[in-house]
Parts: sequence; structure tokens; C-alpha cells
Amino acid sequence: MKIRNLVKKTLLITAAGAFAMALFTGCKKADNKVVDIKVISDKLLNEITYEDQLSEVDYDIVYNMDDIKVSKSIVYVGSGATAEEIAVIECESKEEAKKAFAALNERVEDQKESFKDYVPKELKKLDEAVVMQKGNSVILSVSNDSKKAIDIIEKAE
Amino acid sequence: MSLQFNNRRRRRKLKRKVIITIRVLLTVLVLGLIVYGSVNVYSYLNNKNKENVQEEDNIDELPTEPDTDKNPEDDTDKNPEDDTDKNPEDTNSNSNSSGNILDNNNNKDDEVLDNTGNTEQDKGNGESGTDTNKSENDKPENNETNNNEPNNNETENGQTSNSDSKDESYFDDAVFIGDSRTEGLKLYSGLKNATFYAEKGLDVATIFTHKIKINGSDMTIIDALHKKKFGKVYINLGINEMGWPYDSEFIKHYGKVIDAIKEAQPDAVIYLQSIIRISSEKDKNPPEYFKNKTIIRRNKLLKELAKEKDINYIDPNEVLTNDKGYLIEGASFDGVHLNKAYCEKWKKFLIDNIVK
Repeated sequence: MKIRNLVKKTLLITAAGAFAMALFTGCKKADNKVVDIKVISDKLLNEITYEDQLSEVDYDIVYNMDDIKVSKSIVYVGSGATAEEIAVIECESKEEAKKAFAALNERVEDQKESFKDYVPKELKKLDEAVVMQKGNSVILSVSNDSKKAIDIIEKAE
Repeated sequence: MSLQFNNRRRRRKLKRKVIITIRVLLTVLVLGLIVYGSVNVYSYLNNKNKENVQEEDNIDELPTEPDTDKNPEDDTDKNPEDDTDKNPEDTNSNSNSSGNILDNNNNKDDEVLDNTGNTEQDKGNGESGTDTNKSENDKPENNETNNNEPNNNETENGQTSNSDSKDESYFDDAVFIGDSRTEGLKLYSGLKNATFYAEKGLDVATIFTHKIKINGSDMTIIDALHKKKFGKVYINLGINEMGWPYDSEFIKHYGKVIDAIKEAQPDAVIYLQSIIRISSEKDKNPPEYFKNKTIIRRNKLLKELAKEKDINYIDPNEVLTNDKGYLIEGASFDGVHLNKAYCEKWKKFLIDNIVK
């Protein structure tokens, strides 16, 4: 009996300890993930084929983010012939990133409205637009290859 | 007695068990905290290192930035020069851009071969004789181009002149009205101080009805002009009306747009910009109605309209077209929408043609 209890106890304690450690380490690490915006934007630009000529512009010309604290950004937009676009924006906090995430989704919706009568075929890209948040950063990719974009963003560190 | 004794033993045992469990849990907690702390310190140091590396990268990249801009600019410099170098005999065609388009369109056999700059120029050599036989209709557009040579101080209206001031602050109280091409100017010119009321697909009819988002509210551009006073108004429309069959309808609607803008902004200096031409590739491909010939014809009418309405007419085609009168190859991915390098050229043209 005694031995059985002791084994039970040890197992319970070990399990509890492992659980506590996982809770402390694993989750927090994901929350604090800092992504290199240059690496992501370069990969999105170079590893995906675009129809349009994308050029780098300032984020505040494109997005309505006046009330968002942005620390770094890299944005590429097309000439107007297509909806292709890349935005990697690092905010000062997670809360600010949430606001930026909403602003990027708003941009996608506005673009859908703009392109629906102008170049309707661009709606496919916009419907499959990738908008993701990673820690303090938000990423937008409008391209013909959303799967690749998701893969790049998910693997990014 | 023995029962009582047993109960005591059990209680003691239970107490011991509880104490041991608490001790173990505390140890695990402390261990967890230590691990958590060290992970945090590690990730903090790691991030700091990353930031330092990024900063260093940025410093390293600064001098290389102009290189990326150089490529398209080199093209602009090269295209017209290449043309002239390759066609030393074709002096007529070099001095007369729009005439060539019409000539090419009149000579259908030659037109088919004008796929690349080289073949166009080869054709040009053959055509130099036809260049001298330009139709009367071509002449005003040609004069227009010649009048706007950089050294000339007066444009066709005699109202604008090349400004010595290269100061972008002129656009502080300017509003740019237009379609997707003006949207491109907004994105690529870097003119953050100016206001842009532009929308893809906008034309001289929908400008009165189509609502766009301005300062968070949906309204037409004409309504927006009634809400804020501007010192200068730049208009660039006309490409989305290429499918309209009648020039007269286009001009009639454009006249109404100018009247509405004048009513909303009575004190503003108004610039009517010509319709920017399309590339030879775009000109040749469907849709059939997308032709530089139509643009040239309508620009002549716009120039007259500007005179009639007493506003300024400026022609960005002066810096955006090649010697054949087409939008320079390399200025646009689709032959219509300008890329960054050429939007910057367009902006420079606007600065150079500020009304004194």
C-alpha cells in the first residue's frame, strides 16, 4: 500500500510540475514572439510571384492608422492595376497591434469595394487576403498565393 | 483505546502527507519560477540582439536605397536617348511625338510591326517621309508638346510657367481629384501634405454620384469640395471614359465637372491635366477603344475647354511619353497605371509647372 501511494504521489507531483513548467515557459514564449519585419516582408516579396510592380511606400499613406502606435513598418503596394499588397507593421504593444489588425482588415474591405467594378478579377486575391497578428506585429498579404503567404508568416521568427 | 490510537496515527499520517505535498508543490513552483525567469531573460537578450542587428542592417542599407530607384530612372533616361541614337535620320519624328501615333495608326501595315522600341524606330526611319505629311489635326497637339519644352516659360494658355520654386509646400492647400492614376500619384509621389480625392474607375459622370470615404464619411467628391476650402485644385480624369463613343459627351460632362469645382472652390487655382497617354502595347491590344489617337483628340478638346473655362491646362505627357508619343515603356506594368519612378516624374512636372 505504502509503495503504491508513494508511486502515485510521485507521479502526481511530477505531472503537476511538468504542467506548471509548460504553463510558465511555453505559452509565454509564444506571446512574446518578436518577428523580424524585414525578413518577413522580403520573403513575401521575393518568394511569391506578383503580376504587378510592387513599390515600397510609407504605411501612413495607405492605412488609416493615425491613432495607432507603430514602431516599424514595411509596406509594398501595386500600381493600381492590381490589389497586390504587402504590409508588415510592428506596433508598440499587443493592444496597438490589435488595432492595426482591424485597420488592415478594413483596408481589405475598402479595396474589395474599389475593385469590384473596376477589376473584378482582383476580388479573388482580396477574398483570400491573409491578415495575421504575431505578437506585436501584424501582416497583410494580398497575392495569388495565400497558402505560401501563410506558410511564410507562420514559419517566420 | 486502540481505535482512538489508530485515528491519531491516521491524522498524523495525513498531516505529514499534506506537509510533504505542500513542500513538493512549493519546490515545483520555485523551480518553475526560476525556469520562467531564465527564459524571459534569454528572450529579452535575444530580442535586443536582433534589434541591434536590424539597426546595423538599416545603417548598411541606407546608401544602397537609391540603387533600387535608379533602375527605373535609368530606363527613363535611356528610352528617349536610345530612340534618338538609333534613329539619327529621323529628326522629324523625334521632334513630333503625337504625329507619329497618328501616322502609325494611319499606316496600318507599319503599326503591326511596332511591338518593341527597336522595330518602332526601324519603322520610324521608313516613315520619316510620312512624318512631313502630317495632317492638320496633329498640329495643335504637336505645338502643345513643343510649347512645353523645359526652357519655355509660357504654355499654350500663356498662364503657366516653369517655376523656380521646387518647394512641395505649394501643395499644402492643394487637392488632387482623379481616378486610379491619381491614386497612384498619392501612393508613390510622397506628397503627404496634399489632399487626394481619388477613386478607381472614377469618370466625369460618376464624380457627381459615386461616394468615397473622406475623413471617415461616405460622400461624393463634389460634396467634399463644398466642405473644405483649397488653394489649388488639380484634376486628372478621362481614362475611364475611353469607351464613351462621343467626344462631345465627354467634353460636355467634363465642363460640368469644372463648373461644379469652380462653384465649390471659387478662389482656387484650377489645373486641368491632360489625359496621360497609354503604352504602345496597350494601344495595340484590346479593348479596341483604348487608343492614344482618342486621347490625343480629347486632349485637344480639353485644352480648348480649359481656355473657355479660364483655368490652367497642363500636359504631363511632356515628361511621360517617348518620341513616338506613347507612354514610355517601363513606366507602367499594364501600360496605363504609372509606377513609382514615373509618378515621381509626374510630381516633378507639376512642381515645374506651377502658376506664378
